[in-house]
Amino acid sequence: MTATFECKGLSKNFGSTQALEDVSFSIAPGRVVGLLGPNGSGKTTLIKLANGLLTPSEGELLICGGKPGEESKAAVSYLPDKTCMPLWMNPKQLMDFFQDFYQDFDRQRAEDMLRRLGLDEKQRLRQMSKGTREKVQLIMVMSRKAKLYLLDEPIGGVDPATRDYILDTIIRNYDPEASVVISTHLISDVEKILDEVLFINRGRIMLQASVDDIRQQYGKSVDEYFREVFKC
Amino acid sequence: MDWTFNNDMPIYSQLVDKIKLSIVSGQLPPGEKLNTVRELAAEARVNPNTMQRAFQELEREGLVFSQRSSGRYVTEDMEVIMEAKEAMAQKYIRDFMDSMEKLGYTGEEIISLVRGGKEEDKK
Amino acid sequence: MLGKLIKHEFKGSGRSMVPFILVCLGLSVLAGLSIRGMENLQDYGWFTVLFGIVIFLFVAGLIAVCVMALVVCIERFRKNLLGDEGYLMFTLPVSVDEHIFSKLIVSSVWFVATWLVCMLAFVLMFLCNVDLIEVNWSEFGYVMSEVWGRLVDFGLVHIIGYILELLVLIFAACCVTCMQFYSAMAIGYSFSNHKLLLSVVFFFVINVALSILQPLLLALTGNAGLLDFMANSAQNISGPAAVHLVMLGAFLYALVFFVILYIPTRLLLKYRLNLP
Repeated sequence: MTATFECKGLSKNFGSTQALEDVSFSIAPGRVVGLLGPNGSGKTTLIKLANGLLTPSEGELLICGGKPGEESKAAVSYLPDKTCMPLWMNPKQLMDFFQDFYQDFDRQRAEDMLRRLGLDEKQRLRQMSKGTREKVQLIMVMSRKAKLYLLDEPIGGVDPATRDYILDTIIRNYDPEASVVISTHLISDVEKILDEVLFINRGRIMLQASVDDIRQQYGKSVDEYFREVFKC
Repeated sequence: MDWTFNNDMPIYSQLVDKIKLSIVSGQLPPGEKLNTVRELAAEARVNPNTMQRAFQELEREGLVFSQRSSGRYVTEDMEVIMEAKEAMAQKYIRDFMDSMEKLGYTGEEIISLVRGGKEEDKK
Repeated sequence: MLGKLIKHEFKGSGRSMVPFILVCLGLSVLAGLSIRGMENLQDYGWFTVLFGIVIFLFVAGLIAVCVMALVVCIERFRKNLLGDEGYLMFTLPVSVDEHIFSKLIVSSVWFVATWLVCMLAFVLMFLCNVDLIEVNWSEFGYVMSEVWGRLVDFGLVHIIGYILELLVLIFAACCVTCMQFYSAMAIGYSFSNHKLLLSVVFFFVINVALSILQPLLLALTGNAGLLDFMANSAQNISGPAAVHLVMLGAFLYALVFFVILYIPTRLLLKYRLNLP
């Protein structure tokens, strides 16, 4: 089986600052992976590289076996760490937009999720609160049947109820052929839904291990183990 | 079912324990059809692969069995269930004894304390 | 995919452009009626002021539409591709070329549309100001048939050709203008700080560079014998055909500038994208 997301000796520098250094790992289909690291550790840079928004300085990055490009973009569903949907649009217009560009967009699923959260299809994003916008954005991203979901801080700025809803959505949409990468520093919240974790610090991968292996080996949760590893 | 988890054990083994408890206590009666891995994972808010692993473990122990097309069922073999129940009871007793010994009680003292406690309960 | 991008680009930009265009056309009618009113009701000073304001608004509206087309051209590129929305746009399964061309085509269409709207507005104003009953229709018809006859004499094929070539040329000129803005922003926004300021600076730098390049390019093509060739051909072929040749030359000229601006813009967006 081809890895959905693979890096081989990947490095990225911005001028003299090294954002990623010799990163190598591979994620198999069906895995839910936590990309965990302190702020500024290179999580977002890695995700941007996978989306073709940045170009590697060295090494290689493969999405479903191919370099980032038009083909990979059709297979990747990306949730950026900020609102990127045009604010003048309403959810209905957004669904039209996604339906036009992504063949794997499931409009029915999006409409169901909007209804379940009690969101108005006709309300412009501009008139919504920041949290509501994030929900709409997540619904669009999760309504695709992609091969790789890259979720950058999906639970960063939302209330606990929404956080639960987001995690439920990820579990409910689980597809054994697709992988999910969740970047976050709120580990205890996502730990239960992860298969594996990637610890990243200062642009380097420190560890790739399964959640239950960490618990078995160290007798503590990934959250506790993370705190120990990254103690200031 | 209560789906809270401890931090010091693998999640899949905690799932095994919880489901096992439901089976031996009769909450999930013998022969009962189980929800799908996906549904249970959603209910417990855990990764479906972890839930899958828990069921594999339960299948290995013979507490559940899967039928190719129709799904997963609780075993109807009472012997296996009783064995599991006994094993769990033994484990609880061992844990309890360990804790009591840490408090400084010896075997006989513990037994009389438990008996006294039971008497209290009856009154 | 280019078609879909263009469709959504029209939706995004039409929001700003269409209301302005409609207001302008509405104002042109009002202005026409006002001028007429001023001629008929000279005694009413109060009305004169009102009519004056309407005519002023009409002129302001026309200027506003032109400015708006320019603002839309710049802002659609800046916000939609280089701002937060860039995260959405650049992760679509679409090439950078399709992104640039969709923006170029739609902006150019709006430029041409504003140009047409301005003309239409004056025509509307004129029509509101003329008593259609008083027009000598037989004379009007005579003039028109006379004009038509002249056109047929000249060669209708040539006339239609000129119009089409002119449209293409206008379109090309619009594209080159847009590309000047796009390339300046592509450079400015590849930096981490002072993106907007640097874009403005680079816009002027590019303008100066192009104005240096222009005579250079002319001299170069002159030396290469292209102008001579054109002059010689003009002697050998008929007058109307020579005009076609000049149009073609102008188009190629625009094309060279377009390519010069396009290539770096494309490379920057593809390899040096620096979203906020």
